[in-house]
Amino acid sequence: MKKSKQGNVRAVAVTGLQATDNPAPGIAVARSIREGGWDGLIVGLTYDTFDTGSYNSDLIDQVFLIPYPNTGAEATLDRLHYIHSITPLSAIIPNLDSELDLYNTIRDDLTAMGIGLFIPDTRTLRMRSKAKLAEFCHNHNLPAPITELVYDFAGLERALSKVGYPAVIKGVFYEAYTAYTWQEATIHFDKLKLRWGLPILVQNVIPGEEYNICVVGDGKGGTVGAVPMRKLRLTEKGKAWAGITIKDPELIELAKKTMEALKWRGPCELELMKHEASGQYYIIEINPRFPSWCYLTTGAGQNLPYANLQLALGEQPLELAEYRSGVTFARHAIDIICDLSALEGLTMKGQVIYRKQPKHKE
Amino acid sequence: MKDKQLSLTESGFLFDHNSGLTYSLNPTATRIMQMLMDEEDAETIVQKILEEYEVDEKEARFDIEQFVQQLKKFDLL
Repeated sequence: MKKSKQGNVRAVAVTGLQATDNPAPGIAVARSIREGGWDGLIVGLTYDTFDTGSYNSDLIDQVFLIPYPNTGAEATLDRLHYIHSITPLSAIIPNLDSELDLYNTIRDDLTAMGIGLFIPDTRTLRMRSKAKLAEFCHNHNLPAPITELVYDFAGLERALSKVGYPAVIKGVFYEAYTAYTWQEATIHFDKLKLRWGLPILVQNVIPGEEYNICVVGDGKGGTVGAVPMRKLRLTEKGKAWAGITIKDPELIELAKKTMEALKWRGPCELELMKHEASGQYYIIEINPRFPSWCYLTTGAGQNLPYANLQLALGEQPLELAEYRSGVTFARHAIDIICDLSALEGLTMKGQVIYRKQPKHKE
Repeated sequence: MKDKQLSLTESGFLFDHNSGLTYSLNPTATRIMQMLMDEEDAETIVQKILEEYEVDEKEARFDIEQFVQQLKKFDLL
C-alpha cells in the first residue's frame, strides 16, 4: 500500500458530501468508516463549494473539489493525480449513481495508482437499471411489478390497458408519478419525457408499505451483509427522515438472491413494496450505492460501509455480527459553524486541508 | 405466537420486529399481551384478569376476545 508523505498515514476518499433535504450518503459513509476503526485520513471529494459536508471538519480531514462526472474521465483523472500527489489515497468510495460509469472507466488507472475501488461493473449496473429491472427480475424469478417500456402515446395506451389504473409512470432515470386517468398519464408522460428522455416506464401500483435494504455484495454472488429498514417518516420528496431496522428473514433471503443473481460487487439499496393484501414483496428499484441512511446499519451492529472499505482496500472483512432489529434513526439537521478559511480554501484553491494527520495522531 | 418476534415494554409499547410496525397498548391490553407472549392459555388469561381487575366475567371474556381478534387482524397473533 502506498504510504503518505505525512508518514505512514493512509487516506480514503469519499464523495457525495451534500447533506441537505435530500442528503447524499457520503457523510453517513464517513461516520461509519471512522467508527469502524479507520485510523487514516478521510478525504472529501466534492463538486460544489457548498456541498455541506465539506465543512464538517470534525469528520472530514481534507476536502478537494473535483470536476463533475460529465466533464469526462480525463479531467477527473487529472484532478485525482493532483490530489494523490498531495495525499496518497488508498481507496475511493463513490457515493453517487452518476459517478459509477466514470469510476468504472478509470478503474485501471486507479488500480495502477494503488487506489482501491469496490463498485459494481458496467454490465451489472445496466442489468439493474430502471429500464432493465423488470426483465432481470423476471429472468431470475424475483418479484417485481409489471413493467412496460413506452415510447409514445400509442404505447402508453397499450401499456395502461395491460397494467390498469392507477398506474405508476416513471422516468427512465428519476421521478415517478401515479396516474389515475388517461389525462394524468399523458401529462406525466410528457413531463418525464422532456426531463429524462425515453423510454417511459409504466408499472402497476403495489398498494402497501415500503421497505428498504442496505446490502453489500462480494462480487462473486455472496452477500457480505444486509440490513432491512422500514421508513417511519418521510420528507416531501419521499426520503426517510426516520426509520427502524426490522427482522424479516424473507427480506434477507431476497437480498441474498438478488446479490447472487447479479454477482453484485459493492454497496446497494434495494427498495421494495410489501403488498398489503398478499404480504408479497416486490422489488421496485436497486440503487447502486449506499443509501443516505446507511449509518443505521452501523448503529444496528453491522457496519456495512466499513466492510465495503475493507473490500476496496483488498482486505477480507471479518464476518459481520447479526444486526439488531428495532434500532431507530431520526435525521436531525444542525448548523455547522466554520472559519472563513474553509470557504476561502474551497473558493480560491479548490481545497481545504483541515489536518495532515488523523485527529488521534495530531 | 412462537413464530412472531415481538417486543413489549411495561409501558405498553409493542414492536413487531417483522413488519417494523409499532403499537401503543393500554394497561389491560398490555397485561393480556404479556400473558399471550408467555403462551398462557385462554382460560388462565381470563382468570388472571378477573383476579387483577374489577370486572365481571362476561365482560372480561368479551373484551379479551375482542382484543385477540384485533391482534389477529394486525397479524400479531
